[in-house]
Order: sequence, then C-alpha cells, then structure tokens
Amino acid sequence: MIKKVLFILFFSLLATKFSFGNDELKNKIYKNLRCIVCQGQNVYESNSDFAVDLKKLVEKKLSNGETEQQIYDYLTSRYGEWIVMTPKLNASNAMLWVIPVGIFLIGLIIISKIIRKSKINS
Amino acid sequence: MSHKIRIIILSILLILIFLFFYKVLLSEKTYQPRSMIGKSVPEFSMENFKDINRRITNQDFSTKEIVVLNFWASWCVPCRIEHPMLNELKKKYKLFLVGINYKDNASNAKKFLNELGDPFDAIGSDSKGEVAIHFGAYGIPETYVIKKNKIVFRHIGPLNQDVVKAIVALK
Amino acid sequence: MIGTFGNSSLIIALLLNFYLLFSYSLNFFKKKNNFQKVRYLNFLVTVFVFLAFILLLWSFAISDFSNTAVYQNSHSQKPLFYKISGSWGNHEGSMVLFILILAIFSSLFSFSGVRDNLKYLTIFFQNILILFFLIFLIFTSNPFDVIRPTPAEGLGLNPILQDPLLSIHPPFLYVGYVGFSIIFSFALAGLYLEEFTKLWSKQASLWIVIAWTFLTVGIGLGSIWAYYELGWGGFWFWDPVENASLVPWLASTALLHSNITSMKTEKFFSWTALLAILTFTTSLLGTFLVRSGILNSVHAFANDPDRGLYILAVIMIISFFAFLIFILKFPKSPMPNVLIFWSRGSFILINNCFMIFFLVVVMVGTLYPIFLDALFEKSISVGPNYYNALLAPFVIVLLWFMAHGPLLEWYKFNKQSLIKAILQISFLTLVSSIIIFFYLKDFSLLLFLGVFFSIYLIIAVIIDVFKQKIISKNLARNISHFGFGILVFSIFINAYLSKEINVPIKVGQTIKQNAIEIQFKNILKSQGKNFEEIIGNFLIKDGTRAFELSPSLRKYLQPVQVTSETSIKSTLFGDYYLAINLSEFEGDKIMIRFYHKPLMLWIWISISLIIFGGLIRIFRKQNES
Repeated sequence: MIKKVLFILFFSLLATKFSFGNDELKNKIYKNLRCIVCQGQNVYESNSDFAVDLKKLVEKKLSNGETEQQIYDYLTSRYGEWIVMTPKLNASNAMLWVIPVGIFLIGLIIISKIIRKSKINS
Repeated sequence: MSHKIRIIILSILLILIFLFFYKVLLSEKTYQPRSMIGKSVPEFSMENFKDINRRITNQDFSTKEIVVLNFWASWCVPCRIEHPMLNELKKKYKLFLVGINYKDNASNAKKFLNELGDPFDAIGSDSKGEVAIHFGAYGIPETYVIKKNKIVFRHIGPLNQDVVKAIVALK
Repeated sequence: MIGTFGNSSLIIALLLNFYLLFSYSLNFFKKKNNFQKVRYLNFLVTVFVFLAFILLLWSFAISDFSNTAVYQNSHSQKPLFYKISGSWGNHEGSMVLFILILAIFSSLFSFSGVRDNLKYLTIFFQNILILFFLIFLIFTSNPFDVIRPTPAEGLGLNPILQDPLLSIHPPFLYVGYVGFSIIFSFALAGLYLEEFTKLWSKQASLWIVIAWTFLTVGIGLGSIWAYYELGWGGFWFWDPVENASLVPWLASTALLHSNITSMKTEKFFSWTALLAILTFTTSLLGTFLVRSGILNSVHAFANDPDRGLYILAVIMIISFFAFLIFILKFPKSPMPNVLIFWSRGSFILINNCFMIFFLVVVMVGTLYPIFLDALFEKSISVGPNYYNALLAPFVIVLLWFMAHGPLLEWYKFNKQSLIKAILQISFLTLVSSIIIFFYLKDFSLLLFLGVFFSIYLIIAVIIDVFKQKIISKNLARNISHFGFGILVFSIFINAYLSKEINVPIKVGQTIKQNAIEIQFKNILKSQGKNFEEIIGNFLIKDGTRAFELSPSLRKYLQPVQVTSETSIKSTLFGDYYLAINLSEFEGDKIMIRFYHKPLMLWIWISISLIIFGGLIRIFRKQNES
C-alpha cells in the first residue's frame, strides 16, 4: 500500500513540469551549474570571470534554440559531471537514492514486524 | 548473534570509516580535472590575431605531430610569470606553440608580446571566452598539449620547470 | 602575559580533570560511594576552563596581537562587539567554547536529581570527553600561542562574518551540539549500570529538550543570516556546513520522540539508547567534517590535516567504546517490544523512520561525492535539487502521520473516532485548500499536496487543542507541531511562488515587470566605522503599495573586501528583497536582483513557534521537579 503511494508520489513529481519563461529558465540553469573555480558557489551566485562567461554562453545557446539538457550535456563533456549541481541518474550515482530509500524500507519492515508480533501476542 | 560477532562487525565498520576519512584527509586538495584528457581537439574557429583577414581553426595544425596550446592575456599577472617558460619551449625545444588570447584588448596584447617576446606560431583571439569553455578551461593561464589531434596533457595555472619537463617528455 | 595565565588555567584544568578521573576510578574499584571530591573537582575544571575562556575574550577585546589567534582573526579598528564575538569565530576559540560547554553541562548535571552512582558515572564519562578535547586544544590548537615580535596590527575578520546574528549563532549551535554530550554520557552510564529504564527516560527528557531547543535556535539564526547576508534570497542552501548541523537535529528530533515512547510505554529502550549515542556521534562527525576542510563549502574554516586526524581518531575511539557498551549491556525493555498499528507509539516509531530517512539523505548527499572522488576519482555535485526532490514527497507523507499520531491513544484504538477525525480534518482542509488555491491562481500537484497536508496538520493540531480539557495540557507539543505545519506550508508556497527580476538599471530609470515597478532614484555615499558604503535608493511599487529599498555595496578596509548588503521589506504576505550585484556593471548601469518571496516572515515565525514549544517544555518540567 505505502509503496504504491510512494510510487505514485515519485512519478507525479517527475510529471510536474513547469512552463518557464525565458528568464526563469535561464536562472534555473545558472542555479544548476557549479562555478567550478569558486568555493561551493553556483554560477548564478558568482561574479567570477568564469561564471560571467558561462552565463553569456548559456544565454547564446538558449537563443540558438538549444534545450536545457543539451546545454548540460555540452558542459558535462567539457568539465565532467561535477559542473551540473543535480546528480545524474546512473549506475555509479544510484547509491544516492538506493541507500536512503533502502534504509527507509528496512525501517518499515522492522515496524511491521513489531506490529505483527503484537497481533500474535494479543 | 553473539556479542563477539557484533563487536567484530562494529570494529570492522569503524576501521573502514576511519580508513576512508583518512584517505580523504591526506588526498591532494588541488583539483586536477580529468575530463578532457584523451579526447580529440574540439573544433573551433576564431579570429586570427596576427592576420585579421584569415581565421584560425583546429584544421590549421591538424597535421602537426605535437602542439602546445596556451591560454593567455596581457591583464593576467601569472601569464607574465610563465612567459619565459613558453619562450623556452619554443627556442630550446622547438615545439609548435598556439596561443589563445583570452578576453583581451589587441593593442595591450601586442605590447605584452613586444615586451616579453612572441613564442607563438599562431595566435587566435577568444574575445568572449567561448573557446576557453569549449576546451573545458578553468581560467588563465592554462596549457594543453595536443598529440596527433588528441589532448594528452593539461596544466591549470602558470607553467613551471617541472611542467616544462613533463611537456618536453611527451615529444 | 594574558597568554601565560590562559595557558596555565588550561593546564590546571587538564590536571584537575586527570585527578577527577583518577579519583573516580579509585572510588569505583574500591566500591566506595563517596563522590564529594569528584563533585568539587568537576566544578573546578569548569571554573578553570571558564577562566581560560574569559582570558581569551579579554585578549580579543583589548586586541592583544601577541596572541596568534587574535592576530589572525581580529583588527584594532573593529567594533568591540565583533572583537569579542571574533573569539569564537575561529577554530581555536570555538574549541575553548566547545570544552566550556562540555564542562558547564557536567556541572549542571551534578545538580540533577539523578541517583548518585548513575550521576557520577555520567560525570566521569563527560570528563573523559573533556580530557580528549582539552588535549586536542592544548597540543594542536592552542588559543594562547604567542607571536614574537608582537605585530602592530591584526589581519582582520572576514567582513561577511561581521554580523550580529552570525556572531551569536555559533554559541547557540554549540550549546545544542555539545549539549547532547551529557545525554550521551548519561546514556552510557545508564547502560553500564543497567539502569536504562523509565526513570532514565524521565530524567533525560529535560536535557534532550534543552539541547534540542538550542540547536533549533542556532540553525534558525544561521538561516536568517544566510537569507539577508548572502543576498540570493534563499535561506537554506544545502551547503555541507548547514547539513552538518541538520544531521544532529534530525537525530535528536527522533530521540526526543522515541524517548517519550520509552517513558510512556516502557518499550524500545534499546532504540532510544542507540539514538542517544547516534545524536552525539553525528554532532562530533559534523565538527570533524567542518574542521578538517574535506568539504567544499562557502564556510571556510582553518584547515589542517593533523587536527582533522586527531578529531577523527577521537571520534572513532569514543564511538567504539560507546557502541561496545551498547552491545555488551544491550538494554532489555520490561514490556515486550510490540505495538498495535493504530497507536501513538507506532506512529512515533514511523516518525522515527522518517527522521532516520531524512538523516541518511542528508548524510549520503554530503558524503557520497567525497566517497566517489576518493575511491573512484569521479567528481559529482549533489545540489539542492537532489535534496528537495527526494525529501519533499516524504515530508508530505510524514505530515499525515504527525497529524494523527497525537490524536491516537497509547494502547486503545477507537475506530469510530479515527474515521470521524479523518473526515472532519479532510473536509476542513479541503475547503481551506480550495480557498487558498483560488487566491494563488497557480497549480501543480506537488504544491497542492504540500499545501494540503500542511494544512491538514495545522487543523489536526487545532482540533487537538480544543479537545484538551485544559489548554495548557500538551501545549509544548501542540505549539511545536503547529509551527512545523506552518513551516512546511510557508516553504512550499515560498519555493513555488517566489519571483525574481534581474536587470541592469541606471539612476532615474524605471523598470516595470508585471505588477512590480522599480525606480532607481539616486546614489548616496556614507562612511561606517570600518567601511565605506555606496547606497542606492530605489522606489518599489507593487499594485497600490509603494515603499523605498536601499541596498548598498560596502568596501571594508581591513581586510579589503567588497560586500553587497541587501535591503528587505517584510510584510505578512511576503518579502520584497533587493540587492546590487558586486560586478557586472554595464556602462552607467548596475545589475540589481529583486525578489518577491511570499510568506518569508512566516518561516521565521514558525521556527520561533517550534522553539517556543521547546521552551514551554523546559520550564514546565522545571516547575514539576
């Protein structure tokens, strides 16, 4: 039951798409790119030369009609996965989701055992 | 489970955690990116610094065995420091050098070369910093070594004698 | 001179601490129950650490640059308040504060009503912690190191850290973090003496709430600071240092709740004990991560691998012995560890399951990139999108359990009253949600679910309050839960409906976007005590509302650094937030960032309510005992 609810929740989350205005999309991309020459800042927050160049490039690519994903792919091929702040869903990153959800499920199993035992006892 | 097994599991777990953080603590903090190494030279086309009527592209030196490609600018202080090393690569080791003048003013850049020497066989102007991003560069100065159209080496920051030796060893 | 006194008091504290440990051990092996000496030694340790702390504050206050820590972190031209607060803004000073809080909690605990044997074993364990950290302080990060010759001027403190909120938030965070040490020591003592019982839970609950409340205040103040100082309109960045404070908060929230279950039902003592250990070890781990500099973060603390290695070794030793005691003296509950599903106890366990999930998400998100990089030479970034997407659906489900848990009984289950409650709350929630979305004119499924279930919780709490015969009964819980409902509600609205405008603008120009109008009126210059300031005056119009905002750029002179100061107009419905970009000037235009952040004030109000709930609990408990 709970699994099903979670499943639905997860997919409703993925399905929720927003229509972004051009500015909003631009800022969304800036916020999702790491300013790799700065300490722990994203491109949106940084005023470094690197971030300024990257902002201009993103703007140009968007006006050339490239999609958000194409921009990420391009930058990933140049700078590695590190530059995109949202981890990719791939085999080596799977643990990011598997560990927490796995532990949550183990927790639920333990609780369900505690409850089942109580039924036997009573 | 007996106490013994639990204690052994606990010990192993803590030792693993310790070793992991120990390795992280002692690892190099200077980040050396690996992403462009082994890849072909990205295609580019930009203004030719020495001859405004022609453009400079990656095709221009695709026949060269080994190319040293250096991002520089006259406003960049470390570039001034590394310049003698570039001169040395040209004069002493006869390497083919391509300079990419990064977001610079042409007359300042010419002054810079007149003052410190011009080791470059070709210079392109990257006025918007796009070629730098195309190469996955972090900033300037930054140096790439291209062998048979593949990037085999890169160095972020000013060159030093150790890096010069490493570049020469690639010949 | 001050340095010599400071050093001596630290060494005296260390010797007294040794003597205390020795004296207790002697008592312990001879099976004597004479604890007077331990009690006095415990006070004396606190007094001497306190003396060292005061001497350090004094060195900072008078700008004694012969002291390395003062030289590196202070400057004679700094306002006195920041000179003093600078003493705990650096590694050495913050470690003195850390030890002082360990000692103060140890002394306070000696006044508690706990049975002598249990009390002094707790104080013994607490003094072992003090020993480890005193050695660490004196030998690797001595706050009284002397520079010769004495420099004429100090290097100054990063101006972004010169802020009233940031100055007072570390002490709160520390009382929180370190406060869990006494619960940790008390838990180990309870386990060792096999007195981990209902009475333990009762006596521990006050200490848990005290530390938890302080930690909440510390995190709250930190996020208010981040909101107005960093200038990006956000209040939580999922920065590793923030995460390091969130992990113990999640663990302690789980502990707070499981301890109530143990107290009321005499079940799950082993789980409560485990959480008590986990809360403090995660606090220590957070300290280690921040201090060792292995995290890429906006908060830059002095990094030193040797220090990191020592703290790491200490954490491992402490954890080993703590878990060893836990394994060898595994507490058995007097009642069988079973529950019926529709009971308050099982809902609290489900809450614990969620808290542990959140904790693991934050830990994995923070540590996994380091893990990949260290072992597989692969660099990835785990940013806010990861946390938000993974946590949001779970928070929504948790809200439902939070709403119904307190409405259920511990042992009995009344099906009719549950169904009645569900129908009643759902109906009221649906009506309120429809009204809200009618006004918002914006819809997405996740936003709807977030709003719906947070209102569900708020209404459930209100119904619960009216059901109580006396309002003050369970008031602490109700206020905190009510606050949490408002917090989630405000965060969802804020995350989905914030607006921003980034434009270049010059003096005299007016910019219009939708209902917002921004007019750049003029520029003024002013002079602060240790900075020069350029202030931009802007007139903002939103519909019929008009007001002025004056963001500025500050140039600090020591060390030279330019910062951007935000200007914020708070209203009950939302904040108007304006900041000037540091660079990116285009000719005579400057870049500004304007944000409209709905319900921002309510985020702070709701955190205050959560804290207020904690305070009620603390003072009510004291009245009872």
